[in-house]
Amino acid sequence: MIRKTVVSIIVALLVCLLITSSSDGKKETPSSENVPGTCILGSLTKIYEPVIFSHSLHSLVTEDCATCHHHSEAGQTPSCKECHSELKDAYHSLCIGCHKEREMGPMGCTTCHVKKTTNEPPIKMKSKNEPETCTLRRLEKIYDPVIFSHEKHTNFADNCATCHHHSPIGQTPACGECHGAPFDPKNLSMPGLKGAYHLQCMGCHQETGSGQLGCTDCHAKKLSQKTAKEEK
Amino acid sequence: MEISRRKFLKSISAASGASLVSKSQFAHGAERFTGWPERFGILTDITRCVGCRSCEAACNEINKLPAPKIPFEDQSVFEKIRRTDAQIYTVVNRYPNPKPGGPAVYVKKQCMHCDEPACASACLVKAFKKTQEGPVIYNKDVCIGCRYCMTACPFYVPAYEYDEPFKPEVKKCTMCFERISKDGIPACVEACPMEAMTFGKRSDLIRVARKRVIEQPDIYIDHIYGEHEIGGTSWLYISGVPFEKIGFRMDLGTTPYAELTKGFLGAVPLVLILWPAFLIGVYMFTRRRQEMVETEAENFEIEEDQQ
Repeated sequence: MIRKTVVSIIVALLVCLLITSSSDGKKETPSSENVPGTCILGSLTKIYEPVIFSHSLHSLVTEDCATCHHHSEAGQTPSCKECHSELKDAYHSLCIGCHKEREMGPMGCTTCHVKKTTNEPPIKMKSKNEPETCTLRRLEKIYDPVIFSHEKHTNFADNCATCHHHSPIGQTPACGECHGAPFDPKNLSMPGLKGAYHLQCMGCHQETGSGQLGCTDCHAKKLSQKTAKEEK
Repeated sequence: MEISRRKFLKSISAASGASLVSKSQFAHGAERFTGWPERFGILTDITRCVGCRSCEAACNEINKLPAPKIPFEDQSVFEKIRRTDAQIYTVVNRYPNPKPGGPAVYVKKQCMHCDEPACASACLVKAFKKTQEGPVIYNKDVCIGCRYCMTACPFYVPAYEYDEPFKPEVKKCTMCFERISKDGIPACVEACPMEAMTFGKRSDLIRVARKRVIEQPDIYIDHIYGEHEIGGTSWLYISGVPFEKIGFRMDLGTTPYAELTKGFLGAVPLVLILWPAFLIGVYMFTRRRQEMVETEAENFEIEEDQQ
């Protein structure tokens, strides 16, 4: 009699334990307090600056956590090293694999692994690749190309991220790397390239009270298109 | 036909009882339709509009409208508040910023493509239709030119071609229905350099709007115009200044205009059956009485004559 009772109590306890343990992590998305904004990967800091992975940017462009935190239970987001001993291969095949598939994001080595410099901090570093001007020719048929003075703007921006926003420190992706066609139903908040240019450029000009604000200030109508009336 | 009082009362009560109990076709308007779930919409962010009128120019081009009197580059057009017209499906109006020293506020106005349009409800011949894709479109082949739609619309949008003597139509924005049916986007949305308008499913746009309003409370007013106004519209607005200061009506309520009239209009056929039935019954009943009175009078006269 007593043995039966003891056994049934133990079985009941075990069942309770099973139920409570299996009900963890059923939520689709983890709470926002635990989600990191950036992950700093510093295992190669002897030679390279730490890789700054923008978790917030990537969570915006993926449908759900399992896109990267693959092969884990629903709602779980284990860190990469929990399963992968050969971390390097895992990182490169997942990250660069996805960048190649979507044709967005860095695919070369030095975009993520910036060689260490001892003289200047990386933010203010003037790289050799920095352009003086950028010529934007997309509306060539109707307007003269827009000549954007990159040099002038780097002089009064605090750091590259003022314009090259939502990217790791020191990284300067081209606008078109993230801003493509507008109104993607999966990412309606992301402006297309045209909207991004105007919102970023004119937004800053409006805020600082300097710089061009009119349409023709940047887009000069082609001379051949102008009528005699317009040429005063 | 003779009918006893008892029979008459029985038949009338049976008819009323039956009409109350049965789910007649006249009652279908009482159910609330929350809208086609996949319908598209457009979110206009008024803080982004700079008044360049590229949207007006694009609309003009796509719909092959006549060239405007004041060209699109001319800023003097903003001196007056304009409304849509038979030849102008959308207008951008300029309002002074209520915040002192703030930049002028530009607001694009066009058909709101309501979820339960007042124009469609008022139309006698179903010339206006709210499509599954979202736009409210017009069928010129059935329109009779009564212009009830113009009276019904709370935004004063539909415009009649008074100058057209033989085939006048009611004109308004179509949300580029042909284009969006082929996976395109409306011309005004595409043209806007500031991406002030976002095109997508209305349900997604509500979320985008809420996100913008919540994440930047110092920039946006906490209201999405068109989310619930008169039952919801497909064209939504978010703004940095109070809506009543920039020409938006705030007195519209959240009941769709169609619901205000469906009730009693739906009862009209029923009334047209019950009232005549009742009155015929009363007539037959009183005729019987009248006959009896007349017969008695005749008998009385005959008796008098005989005397």
